[in-house]
Amino acid sequence: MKSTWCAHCQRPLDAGAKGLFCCVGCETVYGFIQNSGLEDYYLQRDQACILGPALKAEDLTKELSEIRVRFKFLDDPGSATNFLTEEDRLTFHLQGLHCSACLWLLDQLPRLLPGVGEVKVDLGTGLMGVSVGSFSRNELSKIPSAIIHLGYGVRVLQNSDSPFEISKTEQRKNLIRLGVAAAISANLMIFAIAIYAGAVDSWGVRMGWISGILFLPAILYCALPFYQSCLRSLKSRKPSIDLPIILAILVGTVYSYVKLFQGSLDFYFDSIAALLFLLLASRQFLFHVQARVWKQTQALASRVPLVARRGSTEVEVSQLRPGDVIEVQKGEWIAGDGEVLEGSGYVSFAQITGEPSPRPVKVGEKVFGGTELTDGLIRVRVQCTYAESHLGRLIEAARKRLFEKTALSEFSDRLVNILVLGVTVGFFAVLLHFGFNREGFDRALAMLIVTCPCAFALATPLTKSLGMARALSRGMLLKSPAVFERLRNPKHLLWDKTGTLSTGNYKITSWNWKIDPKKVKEASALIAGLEAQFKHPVGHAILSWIQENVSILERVTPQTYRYIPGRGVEGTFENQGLLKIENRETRDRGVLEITANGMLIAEIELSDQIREDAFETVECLKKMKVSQQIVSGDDSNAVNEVAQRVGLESQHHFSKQTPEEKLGLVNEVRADVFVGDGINDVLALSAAKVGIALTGGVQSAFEGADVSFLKSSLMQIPELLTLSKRVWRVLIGNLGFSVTYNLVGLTASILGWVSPLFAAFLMPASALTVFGWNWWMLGREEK
Amino acid sequence: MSILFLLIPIALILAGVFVFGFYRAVKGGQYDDLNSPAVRMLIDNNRRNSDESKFRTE
Repeated sequence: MKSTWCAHCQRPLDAGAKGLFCCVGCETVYGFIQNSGLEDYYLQRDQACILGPALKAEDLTKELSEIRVRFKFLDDPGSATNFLTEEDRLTFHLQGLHCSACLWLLDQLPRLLPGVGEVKVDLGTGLMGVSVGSFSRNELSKIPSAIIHLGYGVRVLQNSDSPFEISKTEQRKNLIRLGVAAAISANLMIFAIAIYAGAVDSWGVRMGWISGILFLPAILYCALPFYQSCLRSLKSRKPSIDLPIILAILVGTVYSYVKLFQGSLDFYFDSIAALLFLLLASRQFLFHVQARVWKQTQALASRVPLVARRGSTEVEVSQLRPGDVIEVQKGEWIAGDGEVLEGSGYVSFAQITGEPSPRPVKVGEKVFGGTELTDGLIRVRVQCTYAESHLGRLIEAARKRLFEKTALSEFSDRLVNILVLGVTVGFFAVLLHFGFNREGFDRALAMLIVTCPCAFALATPLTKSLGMARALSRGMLLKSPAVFERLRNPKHLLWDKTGTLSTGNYKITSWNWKIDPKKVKEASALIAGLEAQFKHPVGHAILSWIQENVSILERVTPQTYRYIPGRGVEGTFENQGLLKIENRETRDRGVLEITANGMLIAEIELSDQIREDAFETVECLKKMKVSQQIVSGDDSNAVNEVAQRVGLESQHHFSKQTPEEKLGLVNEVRADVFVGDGINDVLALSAAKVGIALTGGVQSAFEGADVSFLKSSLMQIPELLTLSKRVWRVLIGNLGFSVTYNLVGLTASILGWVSPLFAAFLMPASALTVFGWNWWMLGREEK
Repeated sequence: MSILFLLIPIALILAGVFVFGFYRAVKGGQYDDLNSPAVRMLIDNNRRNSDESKFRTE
């Protein structure tokens, strides 16, 4: 019995594939793993892995030595220093990691390459660190090539990579500060208990002195990040949320030490230390959530071309320089913007212009990085590096937008500024009014501490990050958190038809043979043989129909064959001498004619398959009071038929629209949402207020779409709308709570109802309330 | 209460030891990745063949 899944990557096998694998790459990787004695990987994977298919090992058909050439720059100890960390470690970014079996497999690297030291794999981010250990410095390229042979895509990271991330040392320092602050504040509270319990005179003073000394590391070391941020804010004359806190801390510290020297027990060491600890903890928490979202997004975004062929060697894309000449074969991605020097072919410009069918290119024409060469062979002179290419810049811009500000955050930022200034002024006002004594300090200090806008300023980014994380866990990749705001009250939605409402797969609805029934088997063998040469949804429909309805023994391969864009396919067969032309009239509600040497032998009718959840989704959106319309490049019959099947027959729809016209329509109708295919609807997606790309994977999110679905499930749309409403509610709630709390706290502390100690607990309590509420609304895992 | 003269220094030294331990742990990278170790626990160690000589090196 033939299996239906590739033994390595577990993807469903094509109808025509023989054997156990979907491609040569997978077969190679499987062989390598088996020969190296690591076949336990497959055992582990079948037990542990529920996360879906592994990386399709398409590119891994080369010999080991050929792949190594890509990483030649590692073999030279001089240039390798750019990639080695201080702990003598290489960092790689891996594609295709997805479960514990992968962890196990990569952990075996030291056995494959004796001398290699520790291997650390981070599943969450796809980063892998390999300690070079005693491995030969002249052969470092063996390491990444071995990883490739295990079936993963590899990118070597330079030391200066990822400007958006805090370095590991920085992260560790922050963690240490947090730990020290925790230890100090906990111990200080123990000593403070003695005083609260009534210790006075000599023991009270001793406790005080111990507290005062223990407090020093907290104020001198743990609080450093706050001092730094304050200095920065003073230099740039922009009020920062840390200002009131630093003021409170410093004033409180000075006051406490003064009182200590005076022999009084009126100090605040425990309160201030507790405050410091809670502040550091909330910051760490927020950073952790934000970093997690950021890293997950980055890890997904690595589906860009990794290698290019320069001359006869393969090089990493990052090594390309202007003027390099690269060769691109059929089915490969073009690695950078440039000009065609030699050859010809067809390039799919869908990413750039939205055109669905590939355009022919010849010498002298410009091509773009990130587009696919669907046919032919070309040599391209690279004009700019990937980072500067059109696509590279789009991706970079999209990354920066991840933290973009929206109307709401602008507003809350301004509110924070006002609060900070007001509170600082108020501090001195209170002191002047009540005098520089215990009473005055109590009130002023309490006011400062209570009205800390931390809950305020930290809550909004937290909400956004939690929202994005929740979306990500559902398979929705958002370009920026601004999407939540824009989707909170959508009124109008435009559906693209093909590929969105319909699956893009076809079904044969009728097949009329026009020849002698005895000849049907023969004819089918030829038809199947021809269609098997192309990867086209129509071809698949034909192949499966033949497989189901005509039992042919063997397909006949044509001698020559070609694809005529927009029309069909044709091929010549030996002996038959047949030229089979399959004329396609319209793209989907189509009638095909199969002719042999000009004579009609069959007529086929195809129709679009509607997505299973299309009807349900449309109903759901109708209930949400979203008005929906369909847009398509096909004629009105096709559009109306689909509209009827999804339940939108009562609306007016738009047919025969070109990509440019779709763009115009989006603007004209002022659609809130446009749902389309990430590859072909780039223009319309980028024009809509929110563009949702149902397919096209990660790359589509960085091009035109604001939202990219990683699973092609339409019901995610209502899900996203619900999530956006919820995020919005939380954001407004944060604002409302913070404002109320601050007003109440301000009044209470000025009136003397709140002591600084009480304030020190009230403030984190409010922060915790806000965080807790955020977590309750957005952070919990729902079934 | 004079026992406190002994207990307090002991307590402080103990706290110091733990803080130092924490420092060493962080510096050693134990807190860098909190995801993978959780998954690693699930890996079984029942190897079918323990024939080490099968490992291929180039």
